[in-house]
Parts: sequence; C-alpha cells; structure tokens
Amino acid sequence: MTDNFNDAVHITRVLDGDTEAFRELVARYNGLIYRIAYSMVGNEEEARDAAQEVFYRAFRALKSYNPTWPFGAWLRRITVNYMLDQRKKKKVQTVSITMDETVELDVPDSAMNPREKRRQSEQNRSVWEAMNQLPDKYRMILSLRHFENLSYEEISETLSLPLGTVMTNIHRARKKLAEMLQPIQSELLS
Amino acid sequence: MRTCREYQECIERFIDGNFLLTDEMEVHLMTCSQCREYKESLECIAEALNGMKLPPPPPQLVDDVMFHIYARERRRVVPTFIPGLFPILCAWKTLLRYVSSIKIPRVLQREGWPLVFATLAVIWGVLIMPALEAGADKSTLQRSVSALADKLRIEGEKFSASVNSIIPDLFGDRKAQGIQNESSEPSNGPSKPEKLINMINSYNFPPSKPYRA
Ligand SMILES: [Zn+2]
Repeated sequence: MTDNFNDAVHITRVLDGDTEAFRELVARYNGLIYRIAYSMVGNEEEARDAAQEVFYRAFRALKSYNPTWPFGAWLRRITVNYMLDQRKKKKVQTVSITMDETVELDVPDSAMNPREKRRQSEQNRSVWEAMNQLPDKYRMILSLRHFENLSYEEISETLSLPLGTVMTNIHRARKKLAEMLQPIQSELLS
Repeated sequence: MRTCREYQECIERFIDGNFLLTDEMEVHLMTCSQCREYKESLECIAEALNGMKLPPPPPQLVDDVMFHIYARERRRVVPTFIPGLFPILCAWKTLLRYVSSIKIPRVLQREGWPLVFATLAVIWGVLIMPALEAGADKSTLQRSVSALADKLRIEGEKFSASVNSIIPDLFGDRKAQGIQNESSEPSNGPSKPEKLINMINSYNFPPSKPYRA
C-alpha cells in the first residue's frame, strides 16, 4: 500500500514535468524489468538495452497509466509486450546463440557444501539451457511463473490471455521442458 | 473417472500450490506410472526453476536508464521547437514591412530574410545548443524551450493580427514614400499615424529600438 502510494507520488511528479522523479521508479523496478528481459535474451548487454527502452516507453506512456493498476504490473505488461515483440521482429526463437556463458546461475542457498553447490549449479544450467530452447511464449510464461513467482491470474493479466490458455501454456511449456530434460532426468532426481 | 491428461493438469496446479492432492489423485498416482513420472519430473523442474537466481541488474542500470530517457527526450526538443519558429518568421516579416515604411536602410529591407536566418542561427548556436549540451536538467530546459516557442508563437500571431489590421495605413505611408512593390489597394481614408503610434505603444512587444514619431 505504501509502495503504491509512493509510486503514485512519483508518477504525479513526473507528469507535472519533473523527469528526475522517474529515477525513483526506475530504482524500484529495474530489477523486475531486467529479470524479465534477461530471461528472454540471456545476456547482460541486450537485457540492459531492453530495460532502457522499456523504461523510456513507460515514461512516454505514463499519461495513459491507469492508477487503479499497480505500477509494477503495468511495467511488467509493457516489458512482456516489448520483449515478445522484439523477439518476433528479430525472428529469433531461442537465446542459445547470444547467451552469456560467463553468467553464474547460482543457487540461493549458501549453506550448501561447495561440491553440492557446484552440482546444483550445473543442474540449474542444464535446466536454463533447456528453457532457452523453448519458444518465446513458453519461456516467457515459465519465467513469469517461476522467476517472478506470479499466480495464474497475474500471468493472465500480464499476458492478456484467458486463464485457461495460461494454464494450458504452462502445462505445455513444462511438458516440453520435461521432454528435453529426459536424458538427465535421473541426475536431476538424485 | 478422469483421464490422465486431466490428472496431469491437476498435478500442474498442485505443483503451483493452487491445488491439494485428493485421495482420488493419490490412488491414481499409485496405479499410473505415467502420471507418477510426470509429477516427479515436474517437481524437479519446478524446484530447479524456483531455486534459480538470475543475475541482478548491473549497478549502473538506473543511471543508464535515466541517461537514455534524457537523451531521447533531447532529440524530441528539436521538432517541438521548429513549429514555433514559423509564426516568429511571419511576425518578423510584418515587422520589417512596418519598419520599412519609416526610414530604414534599404539593405535591411532587402536582406530581411537572410537576417532572420542569421539571427536564428545565432540564437540556436549561442543560446540553445550550449544549454542542451550542458547536461543540466534537460527536461526543465525542454519545457522552457517549448514554453518559449509557444509564447513567441502567440505573441507573433497577436502582433501580426494587430499590424495587419492597420496595414492600409502603412500602405498609404509607403505610397507617399514611393515604394511601389505592394499589390494591395491603398487606403482611401486619410492615414492615421496616431492610431499606429498608439497601437505600437500599447503593444507589449519589446522592439529592439524604441519607436520615435
Ligand atoms: Zn495417469
């Protein structure tokens, strides 16, 4: 509630012509935008460029922002549309070519012993690579579900898709992922 | 009796925390190896994805975004400003026409348009571009430039309108001075220099040189 209120204050200031007030909003939401962008392009440079463009679009479209929506949800929707649009334009379906190899897809639990942590990290990489072979709409939906931890309803709102379609797409995306990971399934289960 | 597909959809929702396993499902899972395997693979995929930590945004991202916004907005200043110039030019032309009726060097009358462009070039080069390059609060600058352009446009239109309303008088004066390049009908009535002087005096547009009757 306070977050929403703070957002509203900054949005009003931006609409009154104080561009610098937008910095607060960028600071609050850059992680969200960057994560969604990163999950789609798989490398830092493109994710950063996309984040810049998304924020600029949001800045220009701020007049049309409906304050009854949480600002984060509005931004998320702009990001998702922008990313899917860009990918369609570029006609790239997978991110494997541009993927940052140096990136550490780390496991959050630092209490693990180093060997276990390394094994987990390798598994994560396998899952991440498999995920990047999925078509864009499936990758996006899984990213919203698992990285952003959104509910089906929130995903349906973000992607402007009926709830049933969201559930079907999640099911198909995971099924495809499971098929791809079949060869290393036993490793994952261990 | 549900189909395996329906059971698998339920498993999906169970994985996402939107569904509790019913007795019916537990029984099915015990008897159907396909659904059991599906549940297991989903569980480990979900676990792997939920446990994955994408890299955090680079620390300078906020600055980069703001820089990008300012840069893009700066590029928009030019088209905002240009439409404002046209009425200024019109006002200037009218002003020159008026000025030419009182003794002014012929060169200024002839070189009116080049002068307009020279002045604008100076304004652009000396005032606007350096200010834009200064990297100060560009949004404020953009606003003030647009406001200035608007103000000048309105003032220009007002001035053109008021000068145009007494143009027959000016033509009368110009005829008297032997300037023949006007196509409009000369005024029939007597010229009213007082009207012109009153108009100029009441007008709030600071002329470069005060008019002296
Ligand atoms: Zn079954």
